[in-house]
Amino acid sequence: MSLNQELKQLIVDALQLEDVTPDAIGDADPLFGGGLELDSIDALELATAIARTYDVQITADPETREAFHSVNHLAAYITKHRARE
Amino acid sequence: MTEAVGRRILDSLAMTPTPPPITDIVRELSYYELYDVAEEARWTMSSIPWDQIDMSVVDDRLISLIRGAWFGELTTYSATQSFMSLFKDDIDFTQWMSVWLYEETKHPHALAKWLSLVGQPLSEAVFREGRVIVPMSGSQIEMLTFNIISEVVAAMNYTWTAKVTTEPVLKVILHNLGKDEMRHSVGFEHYAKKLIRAAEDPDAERIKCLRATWAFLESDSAIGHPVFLTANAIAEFADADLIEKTKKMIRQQVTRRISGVVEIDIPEPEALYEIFRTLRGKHRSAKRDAPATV
Repeated sequence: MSLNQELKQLIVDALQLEDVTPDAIGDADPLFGGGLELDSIDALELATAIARTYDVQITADPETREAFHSVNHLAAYITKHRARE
Repeated sequence: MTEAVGRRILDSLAMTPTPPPITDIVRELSYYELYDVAEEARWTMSSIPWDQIDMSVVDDRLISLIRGAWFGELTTYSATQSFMSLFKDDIDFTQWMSVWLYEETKHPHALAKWLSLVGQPLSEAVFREGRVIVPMSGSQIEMLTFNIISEVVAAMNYTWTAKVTTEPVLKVILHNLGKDEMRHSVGFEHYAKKLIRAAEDPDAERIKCLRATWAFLESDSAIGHPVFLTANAIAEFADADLIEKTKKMIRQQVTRRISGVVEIDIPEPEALYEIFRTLRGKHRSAKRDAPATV
């Protein structure tokens, strides 16, 4: 399974999105302010799940905020930070 | 626990409560009783021994801390605007809000007066900066939950600071403020519980309440409330053990209070997330599986 696909599954599982399937989330779809209707607490919950699953540190800096723009952005962030650690 | 939660969700989904009309506002609205309690507990500005300030223990660190606390208290105005707008149809809560605003306005008042007396006047510009509107949640139960938490944190902060400061007048002020904040947290708790009980879907409200609480427990910074800034400033005054002990007490106190609001046993802060996820998972499954209504 590709990292993008893993992340879509993680989003659905972590946020318990009963009415959304991973395939319904586009790689470039905005995660916040878009169709998923996620808010800042969802972002915190997702960040916690990502940090736990991929062992990457999530901090409140501009780079991290940018990472939560879409699945593509998240995958790039995880790839970059996993490689560093 | 899981089965009980599931049963409650199914029960709540079947409920469509229609509260009876209020026929005696004084007996049926909470405001009148909460007002009486507030009046009993109220302190006055003239009861503070302003002429007993001990300048020998006032230093830059203490002034900086109290300026921070004063600034944090100015958010009352934007919070009141949000609450009044969000609860505009609630004749009970909005009356209590007016008392809350009055009592909370005394907090920056007392702190500003102390600062002025120790030679640290505050400018209009800084005052206006503190009144900047900060975005609030659009959910009633989230707003109430965040305020239960911020009042508890503020109460603990003032209690810590009252303990560690040796300036006698400030001690009196902070003691008064701490008691006010704790009493206010009880008021918000009361209205949160009432909101959940009266809701068409109580578990949906419980889930929002638990979710907001988890966000606080997971990361203090997730809530941009200025009282948390004060907590960081206080850390400079007390030893690490006291800070850690108090942080633990805050987490336990918040969990215990929210447990009472949602009427679900939460034995410890660390258990809250799983309880929240179980409830949310069951609730969403029940919604998904519920037969469509015409």
